[in-house]
Amino acid sequence: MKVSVGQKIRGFLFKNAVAILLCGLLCFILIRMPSFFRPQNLVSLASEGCSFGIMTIGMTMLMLNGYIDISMGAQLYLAGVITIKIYQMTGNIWVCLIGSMAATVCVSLCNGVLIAKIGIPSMIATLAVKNVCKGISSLMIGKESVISMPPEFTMLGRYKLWGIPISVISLGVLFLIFIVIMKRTRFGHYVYAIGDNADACQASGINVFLTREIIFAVSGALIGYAGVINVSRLGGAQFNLGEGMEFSCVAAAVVGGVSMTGGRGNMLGAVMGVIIIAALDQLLRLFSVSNYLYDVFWGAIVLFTVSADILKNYEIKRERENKKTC
Amino acid sequence: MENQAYLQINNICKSFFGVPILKNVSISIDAGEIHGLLGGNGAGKSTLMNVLGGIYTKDSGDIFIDGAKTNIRNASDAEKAGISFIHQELKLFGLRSVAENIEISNLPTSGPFGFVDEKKKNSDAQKWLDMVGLNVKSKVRLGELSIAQQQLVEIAKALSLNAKIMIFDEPTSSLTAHETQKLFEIIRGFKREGRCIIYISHKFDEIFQICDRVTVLRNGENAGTLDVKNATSDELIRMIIGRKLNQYFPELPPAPGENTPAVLEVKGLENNRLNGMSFDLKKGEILGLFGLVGAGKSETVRAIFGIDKLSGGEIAVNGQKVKRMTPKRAMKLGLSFLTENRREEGLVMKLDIRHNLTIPIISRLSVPVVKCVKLREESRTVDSAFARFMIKATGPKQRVSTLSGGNQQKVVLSKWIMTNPDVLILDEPTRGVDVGAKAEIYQLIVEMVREGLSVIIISCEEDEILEMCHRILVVNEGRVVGSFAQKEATTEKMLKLCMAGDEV
Repeated sequence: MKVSVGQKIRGFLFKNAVAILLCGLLCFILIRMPSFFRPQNLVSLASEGCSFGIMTIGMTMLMLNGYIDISMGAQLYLAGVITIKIYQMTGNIWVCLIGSMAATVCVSLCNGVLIAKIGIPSMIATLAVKNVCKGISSLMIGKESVISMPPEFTMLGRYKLWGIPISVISLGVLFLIFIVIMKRTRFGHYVYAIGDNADACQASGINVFLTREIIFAVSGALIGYAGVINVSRLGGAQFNLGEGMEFSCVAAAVVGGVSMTGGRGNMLGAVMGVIIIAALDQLLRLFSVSNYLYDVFWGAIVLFTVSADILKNYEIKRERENKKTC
Repeated sequence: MENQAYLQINNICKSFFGVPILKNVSISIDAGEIHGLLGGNGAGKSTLMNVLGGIYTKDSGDIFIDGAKTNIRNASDAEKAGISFIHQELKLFGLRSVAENIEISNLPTSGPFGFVDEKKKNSDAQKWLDMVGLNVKSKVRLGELSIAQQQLVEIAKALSLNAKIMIFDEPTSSLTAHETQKLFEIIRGFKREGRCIIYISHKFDEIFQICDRVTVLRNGENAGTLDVKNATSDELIRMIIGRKLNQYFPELPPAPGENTPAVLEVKGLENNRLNGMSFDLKKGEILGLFGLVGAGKSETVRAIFGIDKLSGGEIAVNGQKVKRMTPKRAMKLGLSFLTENRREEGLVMKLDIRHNLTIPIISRLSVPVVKCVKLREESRTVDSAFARFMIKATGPKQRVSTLSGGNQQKVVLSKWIMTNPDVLILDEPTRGVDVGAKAEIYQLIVEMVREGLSVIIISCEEDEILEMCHRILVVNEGRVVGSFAQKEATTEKMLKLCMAGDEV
C-alpha cells in the first residue's frame, strides 16, 4: 500500500498539531509585542509561573502513571493558608515550609489510598478531596480573605540571586533532578511501566501500590513547597487562592506531550509545556482579556490539546497497521 | 532423597467465598519433563497455576521445589523460587522497549546513584532474545512486534529470571501452525536443559505432540495422570468430563442437493483484507471456512455482516442484492453473527443471563407503541431457552461474567438462535470451551440445521471443520483457494492449500 501525499500531510498535521499551533502563537507575540521578550518581563514571568511549574512536575508523574489530580489547586490553597497560620505563630519560614509540606503530603497520600487501594477513579476521588481542602482552607482563613504579611516573610518568594529569584532557580534544579529520576532510576522506569500495564507490573513482582504512593507523596511534597513560595511571593493569601491551578498543570503536561492515558511522554516535554503555558497566560494578561474570556480560552486550549493527543495516537496506530500489512 | 520429583505439589486446597475450587490436588513433575495439564473450564487449572505463580495464596497444602518446602505468597516469591508463568493474555508493556520488558523485574543498575544501566540492560536482553531465536533489536518498542514475537519476548523474560519451572497457559491460541511448531522446538530445548515445564491446553493434538505425561483436573480434583505414550483421546475425554461420551460429533443431516436455492451469495468481495472472496451458502447447509490466522476468514464474515467496510463486490440474501450492508440491515434480512470474542462483542458481561438473551428480541417482547417490556412473556421466553439450550446456571438472574466459558457460549448461541435467523454465522464457536460443552454446542447446531437453518462455521480447529461441515472452503489471502465436500477433505489437503495458496 502506498501512502499518498495527502495522507502524509494529514499525518504530519495530526502528529504536530500542538507544536504548530504554539509556533504560530509565538510568531504572533513576536510581531505584536516585542517588549514581551525583555529580560525584566521574562524574570517576572518565571517568578509568577514558579509554583505552577513545580506542581506540573507532580502532575506529570501522576499522568504518566495514568492518574490525574484535580485537588492540586486546592492543596496549594491549603498549603498557603497553613504557611501563613504557622508564620503568625512562630515567625519562622522554615517551620512553615515543613508544616505546609507535611500537610500536603498527608492529603496526597490520602488521595493515593483512595485511588490506588480502594479503587476510586482518580478524577472523582481528587474532585472530592479538592472540595474538602478548599473548605478547610477557607474556614482557616476566616472572615478576612486577604492576610498581609511582613516583608521578611517574602524572602523565599522574592529574594534574588544574580538578578534571578531563588524560587526560579529552585524550579530549574527540581526539573533537572526529576528529569534524571524519571529517565535513569528504577523508580522512573516503574512509573512508566505501571502507566503502561499495571497488571503486568504486578505479575513482574513490582510493588505497584507502594510505587503509586511514592508518586503521590512526592507530588504532595512539591505542592507544599509550591504553596510556601506562592504566598511568600504574593506576601499573603486570599480567598480561593490557586483556583484552577490544576487545570494549567494538566494543560502544560499535555502540551508537553504527556498522554492522558498514561505511559507516554516525558519530563523534558513537560518543561516545554510549562514554558508555553506560562507565556500564554501572561500574554492574555498583557492583552487584558476579561476574566470570563480568559476561562473560555483555557478551556478551549485544554480541549484542543487533549483531542490532538488522542488523534495523534490514532494516527500512529493507523500508520503502524499500514506498515504491518505492507 | 533420590528419585524425587523436582516440583511436588501436595494436597493443595483453595476456595473462594466458601466455594472450594481446588480439593487436595497433588501433582509431581520431574526436571526435564513437559507435563500437560488438561481439564474443562472451571476445573481449577488456572487457579492451581495462579497458586504456583503467587497470584493467589493457597488455603492449605505444600509445595516442594527440589526437595525443599517453598512458601509462595506473592509474585516475587514465585520469581525467587524460579517459577515463571507465560500467560495466555500476555502481560507486557506495549509502549516500552523489548529490553525494558525483559528486564523490568531486574533492572541492572550501576554508579553511585544506582542509575539504570541502559547499555547492560540492552545487551542482556539481546542475549536472552538470541536464546529464544527472536531476531529483533532489544531497543524496538514492544507494540511493533507481532503477537507471536511478543510471546517469545515473554519467554525470554522467563529465561532472564532463570526460571526452572515454566508454565505455559494455552500459548498457541493466537499462533499460526508454523509459529506453533517453532514454539514447540523452543520448549523441547528447555526440556533438554532440564527445566520443568507445565503445558496447559485444550488441544489434544498439542498434548500428544509435546508432552511426556498429562494430568487431568476435574472439579478441582486430580482425575489422574497418564503417560502420553499410553493415552488416547477417548480416554482423556472420559477423564475430563467424568463419563464416557458416546458421540463427540453428532451425525450431520444430509447435505442439500444441487438445486437447493442459495440463501446467501457472495461475489468478489474486496477491501484491504479481502481479495475477491466469492461463495454461496445453500439452505440447510453447514459451510466451513478454514484457514490460518490472518487468512481473512473473520474478515469475510465481518464484511458480510456490515461491520467492516467493503470496497467492491456483491452480497445477495435470498436472491436479493443488498447495496450497503449494515449490522442492523443484516439482522433484518435474517443473518445472525456470533463473533469470535464473546467477552467483548458477544455478551454484556455485567448483565444477567436473562437480559443478555433478550437484547436482540426485546422489541418483539414489548407492548407496541409504548415499548414497555412484557415481563411475563420475557421470563417465559428465557425459561424455554434455558431448557432448550441446556444452559447450566443457578437461574436466569445469574451474571454472565460468573458463568464458565462453555455456558457463556451457549448463552450467545441461544441469543442469536432466538432471533429466528435464516443464516447463522459462527466465528470460532468453541474457542476456550471444554469438551463437554463443545459436544452440546455441536448437538445444538445440528438440531437447528435440521429445522432449516443454514450455518457458516469458521474455525482454526481441523476436527471441528472436518466433522461438522457439509462443505469446506479453504481461505488464504482473502479469497477461497479450495473447496471440498465433507468426504473428500483431509487435514493434509487443507493445510497444503493454506500454506501454498498462491500456487493453486
